[in-house]
Amino acid sequence: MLLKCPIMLIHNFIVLIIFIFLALPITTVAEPIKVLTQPKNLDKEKVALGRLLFFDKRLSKDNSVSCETCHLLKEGGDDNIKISIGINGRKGIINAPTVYNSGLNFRQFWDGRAPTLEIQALGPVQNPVEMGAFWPDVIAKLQADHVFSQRFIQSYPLGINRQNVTHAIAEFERSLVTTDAPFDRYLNGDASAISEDAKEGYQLFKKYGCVSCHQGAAVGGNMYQVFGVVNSYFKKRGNITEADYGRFGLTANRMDMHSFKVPSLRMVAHTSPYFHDGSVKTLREAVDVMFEFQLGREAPDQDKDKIVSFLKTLAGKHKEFQ
Amino acid sequence: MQKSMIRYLLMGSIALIIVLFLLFIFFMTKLTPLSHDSNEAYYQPKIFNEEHPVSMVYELQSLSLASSLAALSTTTKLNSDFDKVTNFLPKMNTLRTNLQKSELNSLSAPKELKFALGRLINLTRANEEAIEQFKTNYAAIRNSQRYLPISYDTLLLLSKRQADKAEDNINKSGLLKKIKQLNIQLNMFLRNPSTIAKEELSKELLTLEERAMSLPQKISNALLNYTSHAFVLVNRKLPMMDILDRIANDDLQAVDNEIVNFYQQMLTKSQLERQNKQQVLEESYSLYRIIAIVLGTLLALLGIAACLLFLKEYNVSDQQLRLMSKQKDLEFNKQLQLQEKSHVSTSTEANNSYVSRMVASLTHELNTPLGYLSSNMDILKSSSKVIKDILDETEHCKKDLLNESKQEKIVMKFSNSIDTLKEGSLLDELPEIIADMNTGIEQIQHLIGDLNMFSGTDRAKKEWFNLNECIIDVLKLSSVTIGRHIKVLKKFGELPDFYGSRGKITQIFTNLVVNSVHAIEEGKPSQGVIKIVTVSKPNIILVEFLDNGIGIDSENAKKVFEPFFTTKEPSKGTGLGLAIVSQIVQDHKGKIAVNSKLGQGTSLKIAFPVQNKKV
Repeated sequence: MLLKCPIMLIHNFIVLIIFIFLALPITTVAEPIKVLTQPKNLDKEKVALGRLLFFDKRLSKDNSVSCETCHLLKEGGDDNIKISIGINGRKGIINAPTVYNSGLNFRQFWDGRAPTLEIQALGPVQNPVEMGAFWPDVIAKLQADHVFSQRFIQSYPLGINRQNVTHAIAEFERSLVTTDAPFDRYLNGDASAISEDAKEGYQLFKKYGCVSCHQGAAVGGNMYQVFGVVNSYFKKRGNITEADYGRFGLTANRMDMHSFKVPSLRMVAHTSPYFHDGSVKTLREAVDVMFEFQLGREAPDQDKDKIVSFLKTLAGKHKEFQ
Repeated sequence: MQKSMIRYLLMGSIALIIVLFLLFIFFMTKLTPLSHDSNEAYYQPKIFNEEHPVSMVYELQSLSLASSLAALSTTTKLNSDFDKVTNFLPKMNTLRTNLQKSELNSLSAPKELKFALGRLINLTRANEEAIEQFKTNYAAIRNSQRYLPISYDTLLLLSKRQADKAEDNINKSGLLKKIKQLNIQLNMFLRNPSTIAKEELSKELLTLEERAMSLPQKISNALLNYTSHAFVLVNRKLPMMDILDRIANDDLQAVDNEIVNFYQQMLTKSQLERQNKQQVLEESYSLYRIIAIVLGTLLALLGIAACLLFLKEYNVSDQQLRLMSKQKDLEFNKQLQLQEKSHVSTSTEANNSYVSRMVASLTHELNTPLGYLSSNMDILKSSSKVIKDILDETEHCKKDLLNESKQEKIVMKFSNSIDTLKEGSLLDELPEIIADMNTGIEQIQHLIGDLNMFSGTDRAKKEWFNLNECIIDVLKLSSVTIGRHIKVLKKFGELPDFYGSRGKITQIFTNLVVNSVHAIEEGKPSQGVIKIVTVSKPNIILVEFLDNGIGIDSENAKKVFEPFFTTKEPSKGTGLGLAIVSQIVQDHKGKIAVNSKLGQGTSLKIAFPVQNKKV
């Protein structure tokens, strides 16, 4: 009788659809790596101002270095050299990490000393080996540019000051999220988005345990880990500098010796050389190092090759990167 | 049919709306707690303001709880998800710094509060650190716990291969035995870690590493791999336990509560009043919610009832449709059903009105003849006195006749009495009076006969006969009643024999003919016509009486089969005629239906079932 009645049919149909929608979230399987999505709630004008500042060499003492000098947006967000070169050709002490997806990092810098991008942006300007400037001087230089300060005041009523400048830069950096990576498409159900090798590589990445540190939307960037947790990397490399101390330099806690922020692997295919000391040039070698010192085990070459092909599918697109 | 479809559509959509409304209420109650009692530990609804220091303390408390729970939950999952853990950290950080700048930490704030706040900030920082260290340690321990057994197995495998070789140091020097012992020790330590065991183990692991240098390259590497995993576990197991303790630290929660309690005491009266107002508001809101739920359930019940009704109606109409499509004579069937329905309803509902109407009719019917009788009796009574007087006079006359002298007087008296008799015209009226009394008695007899017929106490014998012949007989008998001015048309089909009471059936037809004649006389058409049709259908004999008389309106047509119902003047009919017809038809398991239009005529259809002659 129920089936004969058209109203009851429609009614039952609607109820069924509601229940399907309620039951849907239960059926989705959780993967340790999540899809990257475009950031929301960003102020477009502030992002544009931040971009200008990011390319602005006036942030350095002698107007020779901008943020972009070391974080080349077209090169994957870093400078592809072992140790970056700052003002007056001075060498830094650590490898420049990529700015892409840096908004997703839970802390900034290799040792995580800056909790936010704003605070991070304060550092390099006054660092003698990077930009070597003095903030009040930089602000004065920027304020002298009437065109720029007029535009700046429309977004920041208080005008150009240290807080607003770093906020604008941070806002721009937060917009540097690389989306639509082949692997993201694969996670979204497009089975043909990545090669069979890459698919197997992802399973190996999980199986060997790489995923226990490199996980989340950024494939890393959400925890600290000791570099050489199983076998001592630094004993083998030798020549230990202050930069190798990692978080120990901040906390003076023995457990934090050689502990660094686990970097995001999203742009790993474009950010050679690798590690905080830039000691390794190829991705394959970097995987070898990870297996030896972080996992403490050996693996067949073909497995490592597959992991490398998986890592290459993680890079997404951004209009600055193309 | 279209009208009813619209009704069904309406009912269905109402039911749908109600179900959706119920779902909405269900989600409302699910999303927001019904009463704020369950939420009392969370102070926020009363002074909810993100920038208020106390709500910041509360948020901090819930954040640290949530992040530690997230941290602990990663240990139970196959794939660790630290994004969840770290998501809380920036918020915690900003809250901590904002609290430091807030009014709780201002110069005017009480010392105790400032002290508690300082403790809170330090504990939060420690909590954040613990969560950081947890992630690091957890990932490392997880990795080494997985690979320690593998590295141990490869070491044993290599040592077995080396056993026969000359430069075998590992087996001969008893090193392997020591490694096996160490592995057991390590497993015990992992199960029950202690500082003493840790120091012992790390000493032995160090000596093993030293001795590994003297071993061949391959086996040395395997041994070093094993020791490094062991070192990770030995060094990190105890801190890990400490971290887990720190994450689940109750101090933070305690300090939070301390601050909130203190602040609550500080709240001024006006703030308390404002709180009360808000509470009253909230209570009224919850009242609204309860009312909404009650209304919703009522509506839902109504909707369900509507659905059931709808289904029932749908069922009935469906059956009706099926029945109608089967029979060709649609109208007739409908009428039959209506007739049946009205019988069912009147028999139950209108019993009382029957009785009252019956009493009224009976008293009236009896009163008229009785009136005749009593009034004539009076006349007879008064006239009897006159007769007695005359008799007395004649007696006197008899005596006086003997006395001749009085003869003249006698003659005078006789002529006087004859005159009185003549003047009173009693003798002229007497036959009339008697005839009237007879009519009265006849009427009463007729009424009693009708009643007898109606009540069915008069059971006639049943026989096989042809209805057509019966109708012809009736027409013959009532030819006087019909008269010459009414034309009778007969259209008889061939009928099978009918089993029933011939007398009763004859009465039906007589009644119907008389009714038609009356109707024609009342309606006064130019040419009165009575048409009688008989048709034989499978299992049914159909008899139809048609006339072009006055007819009756539809309102009265429903009642014509009720006993004592009549449109005629009270003295003209008992109102039992058609009731008797209906009763007899029912006795013969037949059905009767009337179709009439006022001023145009009446059609009466009777259907008799055909019995099998053999049975």
